[in-house]
Amino acid sequence: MSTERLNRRTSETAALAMTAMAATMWIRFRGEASPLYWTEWGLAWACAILAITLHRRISLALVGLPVLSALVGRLIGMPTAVEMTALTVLVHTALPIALLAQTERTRAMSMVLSGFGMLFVTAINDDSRSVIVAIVWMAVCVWHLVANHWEKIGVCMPDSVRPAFGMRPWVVLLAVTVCLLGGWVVRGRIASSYSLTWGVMPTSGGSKWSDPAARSGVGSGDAAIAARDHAETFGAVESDIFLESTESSLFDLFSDMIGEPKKKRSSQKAQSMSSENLIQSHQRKARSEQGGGSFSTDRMAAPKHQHFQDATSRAIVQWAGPSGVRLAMHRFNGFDGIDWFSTTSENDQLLTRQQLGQEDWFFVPNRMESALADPDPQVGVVKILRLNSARIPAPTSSEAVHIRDIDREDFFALTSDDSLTMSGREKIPSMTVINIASTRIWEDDLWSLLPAQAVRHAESVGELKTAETGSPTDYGSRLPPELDAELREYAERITDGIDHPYAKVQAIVRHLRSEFIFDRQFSPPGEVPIQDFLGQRRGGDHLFATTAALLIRQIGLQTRLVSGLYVSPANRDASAGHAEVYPEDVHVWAEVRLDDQRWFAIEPTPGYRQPIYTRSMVLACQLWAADHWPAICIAFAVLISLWLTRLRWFEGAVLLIWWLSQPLPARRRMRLAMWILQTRGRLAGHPRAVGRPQRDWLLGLAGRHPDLCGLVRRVCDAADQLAWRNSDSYPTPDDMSHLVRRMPISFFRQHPFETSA
Amino acid sequence: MNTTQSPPTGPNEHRERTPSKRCQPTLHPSHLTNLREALGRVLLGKAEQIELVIACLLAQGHLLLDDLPGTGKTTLAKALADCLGGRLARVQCTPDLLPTDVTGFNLFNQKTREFEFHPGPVFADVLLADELNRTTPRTQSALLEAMAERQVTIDAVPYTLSEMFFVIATQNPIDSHGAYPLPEAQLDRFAVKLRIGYPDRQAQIDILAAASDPTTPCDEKKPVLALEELQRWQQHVRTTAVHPRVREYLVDLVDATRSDPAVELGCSPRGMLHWQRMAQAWAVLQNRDFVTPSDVLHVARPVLSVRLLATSGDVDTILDRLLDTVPAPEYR
Repeated sequence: MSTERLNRRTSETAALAMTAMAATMWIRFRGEASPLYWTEWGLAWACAILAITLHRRISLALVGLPVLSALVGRLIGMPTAVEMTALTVLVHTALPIALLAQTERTRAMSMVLSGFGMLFVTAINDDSRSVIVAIVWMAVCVWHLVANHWEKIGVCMPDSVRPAFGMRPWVVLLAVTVCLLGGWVVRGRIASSYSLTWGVMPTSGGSKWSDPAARSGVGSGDAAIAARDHAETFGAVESDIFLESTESSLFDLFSDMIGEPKKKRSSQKAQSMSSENLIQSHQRKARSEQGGGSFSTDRMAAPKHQHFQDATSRAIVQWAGPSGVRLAMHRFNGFDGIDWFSTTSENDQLLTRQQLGQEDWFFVPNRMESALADPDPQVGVVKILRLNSARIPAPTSSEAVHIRDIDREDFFALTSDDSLTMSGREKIPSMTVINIASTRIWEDDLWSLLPAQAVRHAESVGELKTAETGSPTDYGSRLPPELDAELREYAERITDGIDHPYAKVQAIVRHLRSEFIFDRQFSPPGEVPIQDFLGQRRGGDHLFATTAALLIRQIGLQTRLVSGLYVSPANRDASAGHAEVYPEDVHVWAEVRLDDQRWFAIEPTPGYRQPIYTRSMVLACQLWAADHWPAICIAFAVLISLWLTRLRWFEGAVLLIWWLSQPLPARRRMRLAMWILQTRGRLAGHPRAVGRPQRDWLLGLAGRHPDLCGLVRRVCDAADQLAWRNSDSYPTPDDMSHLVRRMPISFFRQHPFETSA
Repeated sequence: MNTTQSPPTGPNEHRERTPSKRCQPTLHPSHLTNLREALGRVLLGKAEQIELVIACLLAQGHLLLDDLPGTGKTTLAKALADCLGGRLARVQCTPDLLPTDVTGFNLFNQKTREFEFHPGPVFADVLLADELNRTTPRTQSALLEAMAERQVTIDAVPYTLSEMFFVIATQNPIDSHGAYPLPEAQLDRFAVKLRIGYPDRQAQIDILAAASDPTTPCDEKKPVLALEELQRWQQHVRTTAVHPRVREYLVDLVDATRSDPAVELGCSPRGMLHWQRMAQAWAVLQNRDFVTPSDVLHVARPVLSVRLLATSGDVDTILDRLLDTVPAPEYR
């Protein structure tokens, strides 16, 4: 079973299983093209090839391989999605079943598995070219089924009928053509969504297969997508796309339900009149038309409602990107003990425009070169729904923004406190979709780019005020002195014994997250909220952020307070791929400045997810080694000692195996003894030459020892009788045991040169 | 013409052949030991070569001795003929030797007015052909044909040779002037090629001592092994068991000789048969009734050195490499 050639059915079913594996590999490539991914798939393919060429049971290892790699991934910090692991296990199972199946039904199960896996994977794959793999699978499947059918017929055919082999390829070609035609009919649906002009299928809206707002059925999805994809949604556009306000006036409610009153076509001239000509009743009428004091029955038809029935109607913005992210809107760097304010008052800066491909991106002025040089920026998409602000909620290290079809620079600006805004307007229009590119901050940078700033705050505040360029970095030295002293003593207490500034920052954040209680309802009774906070150890997130910012200032780093929105992981809609931000997700946190004028966010409030700064492999290894160095040294010492005594271990293992092999039949024992002797010779560096019979080799080695020679001769004579004469005379177990014991590796080492037998 | 006359035998006179019986109880290994000892007395210190000679005899093959002069070839042949109770004929091959000098001829007898057949040396039991490479190819082919077919045809009349017709041919490796070296196709008819070589120091001392010892009985002509028993031994050798795996090993070796790039002419199927027979004979000489791979390897060098043709280099080194690289069957 192990090495016999695969018959046609097995090989075709195995080919189908491997096609499904290839498709799974493709779909996982989008999410995780990492070394772990390549290792896992390299092992999987090697396993598959070995199973086919060497021994079929090797394919059973495929089933556990994704689970193993998922565990390994979690250990090293590169986790894979559980769903992907489960899908991979399912698809991998097809190959062992195909190879090890004994009956046709079981083999058909493999086809079912691989077919299902293929279908599923192709359906969820964003890349339109993955259809090709599905077509290949289908072609092989059709071929297989046609061949099975022909085989069945071939058994019952009379001899006068000759099978025409040439028909089979034509049948397959026909099947593939039919499927391709079908695919061509729905070709528009593969890449993006267009309404079928023939009315074959109703559209459900949505340009990609999953779209946040495309869940409400016929009609409203398209409108929502129109709003997302086209930039005419802000500015003067069809007003029926805007969501009605939740706090509508009576006039508005009437307009919604019944209809808007018609505007009178007749023009009325207004003429100022002296007060004695004014009629009171006319004044009231003018007022009541607008204010809802009157109710007109002459109304236009009610407008179509554009409510999103099942869209959660409280979301302020929607964010498509990683969750647990903070979207900053306002930044404050000055603190006077009670209030935060922005100390910079420069004008807004315009962003630099850069065309990348077909799109126009607007970059933060100083950071454009480094942003363009970043090979892997993270692009998130924010859709404004109910936010009354001109500022763009953007993650901390945002470098560039892009709205489709916008190419004028005066749309965007960078405020003096480093926040992105759409200048010149009251608020960003609803349904605006903004793409924001931000660069990743590595934990290595946090460890390496902070030391230069680790100077005492009191010493350097004077110089730093004047020397900094770029972002406003005023320390805000208007803190009352007793508060300053209290904070300094507190900071020293927390960071006692820690050298590195980033480690100090971590200690402060950890202390706040663990020792204090988050309670938005708590209102500090005293004058200075910070002192109450430190005393009572409870408060809202703004107090947490303030305290963290002040404490970190005490150890010499620059900080500022940030207010904005927090994308909670609980609000993430995985199927739609975006997260919603509700009014209660408004949040306050702090940012710390790095040497190269970037800022990184910290999250001192418990219950909120901390920002993830990924470590490069180098840093991860360094930190792990630093944590576990005693264990590493011990393991190293153990390994070295094991290596040095490896031959003794081998000898011990050999003797154990020999002792355990007593119940084996004598023939196997003899083979085992020969194997032991040959392995010893190989390990000692003097292997038996391939062309030298075992008898001659052993006699040559034992030549100088007459008693050993006699033993070897006895054993080999009996083995000769057994092997070349097929008689039943085995070497006696005692003889063999003696032989195994009397020729250890040291013996082989001492007698490298055989004497002639 | 250096031939010894033999008693005339008529045409087609078959010797009595004892019917070959497999389970013959009359196989005495002690006789082989006596044969060994007898030969060992005349050829001191060459136990291995004597063993191979006896094996060649048992394998019904012919022997080629490629050796320097004076190393005991004639002594060996003579002793062998004496031990077997047979007749020794010796042919000194010179360039003017005629084929009829080897095979025999018809001579017109004036008295009886008929043609009398005078048999040549091939009708002996053991034939020693000295310096076979010095005679003309025509004479060589006459002898080789007799070796192969065990009969000669003179004037369209076939004459069968002796049952245990055993040829020991010699070649002198040193002088090759005026020589007609045997072509490989002809060399293939020999089973083995041996080199006796000079005896070692102690053996030479013993030789000198024996030569000058007045008490040494000379010319013992007591037959040790009867002809019928020799035939039975040969039959026993023919039917010795060869395990299929050993056979495969043999074929692997033969394939290796053919496919090696340094070998121009490998082992032929005839050579393969000779090899198997020699291995069987060797096994019998070790008092075994089955052939092991060690036997195959042991006789490999003598068997192959007579028929292997190397493109360049020494046949011995090529053989060393070959025999080490073909995997030997293991105990199973």
